[in-house]
Amino acid sequence: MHPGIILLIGGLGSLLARKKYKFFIALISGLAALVIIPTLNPGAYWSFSYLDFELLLFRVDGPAQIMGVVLTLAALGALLFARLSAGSKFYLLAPLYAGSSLMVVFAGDLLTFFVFWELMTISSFFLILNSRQRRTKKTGIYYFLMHMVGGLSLLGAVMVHYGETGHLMLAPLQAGQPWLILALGIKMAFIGVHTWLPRTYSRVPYHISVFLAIFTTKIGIYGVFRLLEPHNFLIWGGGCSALLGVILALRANKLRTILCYSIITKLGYVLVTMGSGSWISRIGGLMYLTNHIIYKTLLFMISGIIIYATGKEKLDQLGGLAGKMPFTMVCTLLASAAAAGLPLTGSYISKIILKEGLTSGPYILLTLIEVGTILVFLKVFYSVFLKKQKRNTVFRKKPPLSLQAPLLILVSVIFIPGLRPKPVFNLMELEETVLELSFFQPYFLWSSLQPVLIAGLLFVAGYFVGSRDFLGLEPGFQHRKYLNFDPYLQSKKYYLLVGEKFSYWHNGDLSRYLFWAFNILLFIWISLLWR
Amino acid sequence: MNAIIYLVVLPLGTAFLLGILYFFKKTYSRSLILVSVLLHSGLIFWISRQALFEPLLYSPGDWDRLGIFLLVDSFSVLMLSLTGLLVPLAVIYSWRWVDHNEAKYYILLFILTAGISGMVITADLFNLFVFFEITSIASYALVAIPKKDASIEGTLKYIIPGTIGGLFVLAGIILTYQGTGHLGLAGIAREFHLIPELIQKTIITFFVFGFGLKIALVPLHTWLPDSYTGAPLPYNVLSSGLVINAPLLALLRILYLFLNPELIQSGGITGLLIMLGALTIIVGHITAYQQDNIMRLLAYSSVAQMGYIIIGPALATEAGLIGGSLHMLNHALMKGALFFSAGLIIIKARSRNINDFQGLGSSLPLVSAAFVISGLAIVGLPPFNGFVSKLLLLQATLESEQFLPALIILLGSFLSLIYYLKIFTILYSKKGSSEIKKYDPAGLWSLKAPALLLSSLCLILGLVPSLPLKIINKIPHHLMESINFIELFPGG
Repeated sequence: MHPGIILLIGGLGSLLARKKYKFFIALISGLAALVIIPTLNPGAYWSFSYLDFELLLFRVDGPAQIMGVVLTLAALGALLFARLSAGSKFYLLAPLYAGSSLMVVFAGDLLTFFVFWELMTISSFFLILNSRQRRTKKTGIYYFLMHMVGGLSLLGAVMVHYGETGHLMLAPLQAGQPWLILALGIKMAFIGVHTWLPRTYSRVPYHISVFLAIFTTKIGIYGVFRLLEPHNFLIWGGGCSALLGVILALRANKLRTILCYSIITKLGYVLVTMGSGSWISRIGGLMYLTNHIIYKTLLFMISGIIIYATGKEKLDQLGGLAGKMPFTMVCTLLASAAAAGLPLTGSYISKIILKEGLTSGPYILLTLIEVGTILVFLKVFYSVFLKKQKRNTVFRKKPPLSLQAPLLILVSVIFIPGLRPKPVFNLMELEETVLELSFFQPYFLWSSLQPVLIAGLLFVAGYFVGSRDFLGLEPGFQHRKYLNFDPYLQSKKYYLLVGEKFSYWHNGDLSRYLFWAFNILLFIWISLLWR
Repeated sequence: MNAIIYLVVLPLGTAFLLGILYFFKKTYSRSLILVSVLLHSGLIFWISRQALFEPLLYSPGDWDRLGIFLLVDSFSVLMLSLTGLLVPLAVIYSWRWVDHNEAKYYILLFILTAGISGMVITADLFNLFVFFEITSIASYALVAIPKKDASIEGTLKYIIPGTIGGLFVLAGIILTYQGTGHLGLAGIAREFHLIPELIQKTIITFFVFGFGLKIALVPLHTWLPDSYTGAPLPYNVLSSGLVINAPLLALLRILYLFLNPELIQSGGITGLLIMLGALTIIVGHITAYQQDNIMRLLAYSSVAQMGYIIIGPALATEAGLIGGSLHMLNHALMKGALFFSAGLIIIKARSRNINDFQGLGSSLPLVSAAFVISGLAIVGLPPFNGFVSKLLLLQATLESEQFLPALIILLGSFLSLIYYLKIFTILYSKKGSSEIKKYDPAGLWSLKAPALLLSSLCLILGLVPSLPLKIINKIPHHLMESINFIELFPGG
């Protein structure tokens, strides 16, 4: 059975159920998918024909299975987390969204890939729209339009590829790459087309932003893994995206906005590995991505808990939560350890693997990005938990167990691949040389600590030497115009201008309409005679 | 095959009978309407099933010398089945919707049905013109039925360009008859190339212009939004699904049979129609965003969709013809669903302004879902039917290496999403629901059923596109090679 279809059925099934049972339907379908994915046989597939195309709705291989398991796990955590505040439509839309993401992950051909890629957009749009806040209306439109551009360019790329090669198998495209890059770039929030990401995730209710953060961008980078040939420009593009992400994260003030920029950074990091020619580092990048999904979900949950507890999420209004929320603080530390790739976590292992196949240029780039990431985490951790606030942060209500329990589940997941990486290696069919690496030798331990030390030094230096403004620790630093500049929002003005002109011309004057008609008659006649 | 003529006779006869019945006794009129409409649909179903194996031919009144024939081929089957589906739904919907001039309304509706059925099954220019005018005049009158200011204005703006269009079609027919001495399409197809080239091009110009006015290609579309604003809503469904598609079918038959596909491509007609289609898509979509009146918005959306429908056949390739025909079918279903569900929303909101639709998504859950499904379908998102036909159109344009229309098709999807999203967000935004009155006409199933049926068809045909494609795949056979068409007729 296809795990994605189970989730889709679970979502649609919740339409029929009473309100009480909707949560359990979603939970059971999620659990069923989670149990099924590891039991699938690599190489299994379902083929069927649609129109004139031969399609593979379902194709199992190692990378897809790993992605599937991790996405489902994170989704289950997010589902438990959302139980407190979710409305009844959430249980329709969230499984649909998760299900279509799994369909994309297990897609064996480009058309299936595209169809469920779009279904993800549709379901997540209604997930955003479903929330009660007034601002989400415009945010939702912005999100959908941006992803529609991506979706349409993916469709264009796929059809151009089909015209060139005559098949639709899921493989790196042979033609139409510019369109493909635009599509993937928008989905993975590449810097420059990332504007939808912080806008959307920081404005929706926190339980929805946890859910959104699991899928959309990650499926984008998964698409890069599947559809793009490795190339140098991916390395440099990824590096630029990641470093600019760091800078923007340092400039941002809102908790979830920072997490969004941090997603951009991490995906840039993975993109660097996707650009390198060696298979090992691509696989390592994918493994890193799976770890990233878990700890990023964890961090979004933590931000949700902080919002729940204090009602605030701006860094300059928060502070001193260490004493009040020790459990949350410990979870944050563990998640940050995973983000930094410290030993015992899964990302430590995947980082070693992905660096195995790299030359020195990208290696330094990756280290730089790591330093930046840790810098951002230090800033957030300091501002939220350690910083002394003049007026104490108002602690409204204690987070209940239903918000904290999912944290525990995901925290334990962080360490499983770190301690027992063998099953993952088997699924990925990694070569013997990698398997024989001893992961805890001093060299690797030292090199994993390096970026943490550098970032720590930088942070302390910045804190004392006076570039607190650069670290974004001073109040009022976020009011920079160039940070909020959004060319896509500006283009709306021109669109409206053209539309107003058009409706101004349609003034209802019959003689004007007849004038147009006779002109076009002449035009047709002349243009035909011209030939 | 004698039954073909009843496709026209049955609705026409019903119209006369209805007139008499309304004069004497009104009580049985509704049952007569229902029986006649269902009989017509049944007849269409029966004839279509036979015509799918082999085109059916009927010669009314033995006018063989002039080539007067009725022909049901797969192109007619497509339009006939649309008629058989949409007319009963429109009639059911009209029971609640149309509240005055009821008698005239149903009589005109039947005349319209007769006109459209006739127009799609004629195989000669004489009958084509007759049915073309019957359809047009019935439509003008139907727009005026509500007797409001908007509908009178709409009629005026419809009737004048419409008549001019009819005039040019007639001129084209006269020139063709003079040049070839035939009225039958088969005869003309054989001898059209004998006409001097200047006259040929003039004829084509007249047909493209005359029918183009009816198809509402920009900038000949101006009558359409104005007429939709005032017209009764069920008529708008028929108009979008049938009245503007039937002339397109006639135009395509004329273009493909008189000229062959190579001549269409090389003679500049492909470029011309693609340009008009592209303009139609862009102007239609961008202007639709500016509208606050839901009827006008959907009208401009219809205009834009005609652009897609013309681009496919304009390529003069098999794939283009199939894609265009499928989109014609899909558009009729999607726009029907949109209009029907918008009607319920209008009743609930007591306004046609989309800004008054706030929060109706939760008070009309099923209808709003139908609206959203058909809206997503018309934007061209999977897994709905609009996606399939736009995919085929895209593939066809790329196959003939026309990259500009391919880009326009994609751009059009984006532009249409903008204004449909505007409605979706208004529908699903929260608002205090205290103003909604107890009386809930939107609960009536005669209004709901057509909307739900059509929107579920949007989903079904998206998942199983092979059903309509069975009919549509046969369309190119008689059009791409005019010899196949000519051979259908005696003496061909």
